[in-house]
Amino acid sequence: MNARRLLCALSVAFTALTAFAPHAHADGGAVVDRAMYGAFDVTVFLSPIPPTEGVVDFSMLISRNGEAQVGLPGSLRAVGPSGIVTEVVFGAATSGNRLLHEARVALELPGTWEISVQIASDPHDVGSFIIGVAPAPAAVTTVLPWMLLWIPIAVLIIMRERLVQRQRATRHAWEDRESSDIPDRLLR
Amino acid sequence: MLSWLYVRGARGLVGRVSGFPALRPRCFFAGMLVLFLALASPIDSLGHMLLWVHMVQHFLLIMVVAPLLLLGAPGIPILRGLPRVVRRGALGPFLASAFLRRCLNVVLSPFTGWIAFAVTNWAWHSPLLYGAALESPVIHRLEHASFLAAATLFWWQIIQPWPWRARWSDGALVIYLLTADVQNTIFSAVMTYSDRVWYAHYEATAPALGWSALQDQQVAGAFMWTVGQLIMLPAAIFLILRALKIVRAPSPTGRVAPTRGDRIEPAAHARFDLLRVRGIGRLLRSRTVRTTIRWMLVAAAVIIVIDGLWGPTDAPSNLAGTLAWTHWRGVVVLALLFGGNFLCMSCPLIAPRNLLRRWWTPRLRWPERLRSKWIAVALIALWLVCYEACDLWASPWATAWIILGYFAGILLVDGLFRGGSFCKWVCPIGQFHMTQSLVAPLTVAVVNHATCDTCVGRECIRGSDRGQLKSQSVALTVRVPGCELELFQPVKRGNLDCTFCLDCVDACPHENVAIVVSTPSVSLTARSWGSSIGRIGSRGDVAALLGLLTFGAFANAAGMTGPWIEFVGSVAQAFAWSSSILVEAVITSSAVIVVPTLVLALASTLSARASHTTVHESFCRGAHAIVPIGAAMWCIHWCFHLVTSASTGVPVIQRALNDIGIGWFGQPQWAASCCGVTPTWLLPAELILLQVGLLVSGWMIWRGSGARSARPLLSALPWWCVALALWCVGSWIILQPMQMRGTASL
Repeated sequence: MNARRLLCALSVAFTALTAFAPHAHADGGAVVDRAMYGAFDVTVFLSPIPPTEGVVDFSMLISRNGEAQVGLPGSLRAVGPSGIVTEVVFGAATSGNRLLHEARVALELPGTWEISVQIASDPHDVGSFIIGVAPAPAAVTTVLPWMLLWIPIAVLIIMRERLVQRQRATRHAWEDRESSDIPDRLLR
Repeated sequence: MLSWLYVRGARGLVGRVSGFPALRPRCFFAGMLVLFLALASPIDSLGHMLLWVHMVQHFLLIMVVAPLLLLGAPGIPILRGLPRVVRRGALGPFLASAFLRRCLNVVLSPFTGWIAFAVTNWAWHSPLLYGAALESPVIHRLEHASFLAAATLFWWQIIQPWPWRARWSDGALVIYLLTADVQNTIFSAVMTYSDRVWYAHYEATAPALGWSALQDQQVAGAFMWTVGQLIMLPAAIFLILRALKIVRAPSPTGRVAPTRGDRIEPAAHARFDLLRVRGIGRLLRSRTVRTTIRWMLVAAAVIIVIDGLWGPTDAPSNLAGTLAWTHWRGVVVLALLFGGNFLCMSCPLIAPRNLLRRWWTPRLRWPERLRSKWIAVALIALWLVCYEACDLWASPWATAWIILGYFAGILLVDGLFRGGSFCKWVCPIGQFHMTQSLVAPLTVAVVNHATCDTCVGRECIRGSDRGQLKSQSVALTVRVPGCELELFQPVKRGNLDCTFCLDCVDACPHENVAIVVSTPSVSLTARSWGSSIGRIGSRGDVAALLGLLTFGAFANAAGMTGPWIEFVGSVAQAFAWSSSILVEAVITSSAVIVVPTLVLALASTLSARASHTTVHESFCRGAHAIVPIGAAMWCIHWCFHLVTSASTGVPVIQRALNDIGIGWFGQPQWAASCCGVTPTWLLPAELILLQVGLLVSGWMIWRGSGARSARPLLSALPWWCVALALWCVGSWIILQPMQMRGTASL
């Protein structure tokens, strides 16, 4: 096999697949609401679960007669605890995975938020639902796992050092034994 | 990454070893392709909506990806594809450990494979865990990883990837396979004939796509049942036929271990040489290209100086306030950390210096008394203090004068003294590049030392005369200089004092000098004598330079944090000092001179007492060893500015072009001049990089100070404490709110 040709083919395939990947990735999240908005059946996914203060990812699966609608323009409006209002428009540009409409909303305060979805082609029909937003976790708890990664690696390094020492000692012991054997055999 | 390692390692195996025919790489890459399709294609999106699509995804992982990857026998090729230092240095002791081999034997036993296969199948399809996986992307990834791992253990027994041998007879493996099929059939049947929906999630999603949730579940169960059997039963029949010796094992199943006749080429391939890489190698070797790049950077420096002196006075709208402090510095650290000292190679200061030397030949030699790094140490300390105290980054005017000062400095010093005196003994930027490139993966080095042993001309340091054909009848002799920094290539150690100018490459008549890969940081613990720098481990001036730059990295980064600015303000208020410059100067001096001196002196003394060496030797070793964590901090700090403020260059360039009447790029988009949203990956990346620095420093301390002394742990402990303290300070700095320099809102 020509390794260089294989490597070239692999690079081309990887580049092509990587270019395709952003459109192929799925959004995670749990279903928080499903309702009929006029003729449209809208299922709303939410990530992360439970939602916390900060940017929250809403994904809408919009279908009509059992067929998913892609690139349908609309908006998602969030009304917060102290009357704070945030509105995000979604449409063809935000249907990243060809199936869901993505709307990233900054929910600045913890508490109860009322979320309403409106589809542009059906402006009179607005549905809403309530979600509870938890306070953002302390910065230390979110970064702590990233900060402590070095500890297991350090343990591995220490283990390696001990193994090397032990293996070296065993090798030296064998060498000593072999060299001490030589005069005995010569004597015999 | 795995594919790349596989290709690298499989090169010497394919067709040369009886157990490794060309079919193996094809199987491996087919497995990788199916893995990609399963995890990153619309299957993954639809799997969130329809259960049966999710089962297709699991089927691909368990029944297709795992067997194909194992048929590719990835173990040996991937091990061979790893760099030698990782394979032998890092993994070697583990692979040779008898205890770990016994553990591996247990993990790879048929019992473990069967149990793992069944447990993952039943556990992950329970409504509780399945629901959790649907809600959390992290648990979903964990689910897929465990499916793939369990399937690999299960199919390992059947396929026995080369060069492992079968533990059980084919007859026993038939029972192994059929019992696994039975448990899969029971599970699938229960799912298919259940009259209630197992996963509530699909009650909301499946109807949106025209399916009822129960119908979806029945199709999923039927799929697992039938397609599972379509894979397992033929495999069992094949095993039976093989047991009856009706068929022979095809070579890809790898039951043939390497024999004595097999010739496996060593995994160490020809040493990588950047100058031999097609395209970029030719460009780097060309003296004309290098000179052109330098002159282009001279032109850029002239434009920045003009804009700095006569352009807008606020840094965010001036080329000197953005390109110099945000973009150039970010590129510098990235090039140093992931390449080598390419910034000195393209240094714009060299071009006018070389032009001057066409007409003016310096006679003097750099004084013996000044042949140390102490001048550079003083200049760098001055620069670090002035940077904070005078807010150099906020003054385009001062930036322009600094650039002019550099040009004046090199013309003066190199106009008087021979060789690269300015680069070697004075230039603070050059010292920064050369010391930080000690942790870089590329170095200029000799390819074959035997060639140098027979060399009598020593052109790499003395220079050479090269014949050049000007026309058909006229031949010219061109003088190619040797190394201006007096580094004799055969005994050069590391990147210290090397500007990557590649004069030695041009001068060597044997073409024996190259840019090669070396283990990063390894030269920091070198004890052997190096050309022009002597024993690096006993040079106090070099150690002081390294210590200053390491502590300077943290002080420089801390200077932009909110608490530091508040602290400076409170100190000024407490002492009723009217000048904030003085307060900043005193505090920064303490941080880059006083504190490092005390800390390094204490650590050196304690380490020296433990190891019965001199304080000087301990100081030199320790200062070298903490360079990696300092380099990591420089990279974190400057890359933070580059990543968060990369767009600030656009409106400034638009403004500069508009000022000279070029309106092609439109009016300045000042909205881009303010700091953008910090990417979510940046904070984890910064924390990881700092930890890499900590680990490499810890390792260097052990190799340099600890492992070779009578009391290794006690000897290394003080320096480990220093590295750990620096890591704590660095982590604290990273988590602080940052002052976005050069990007203030307009």
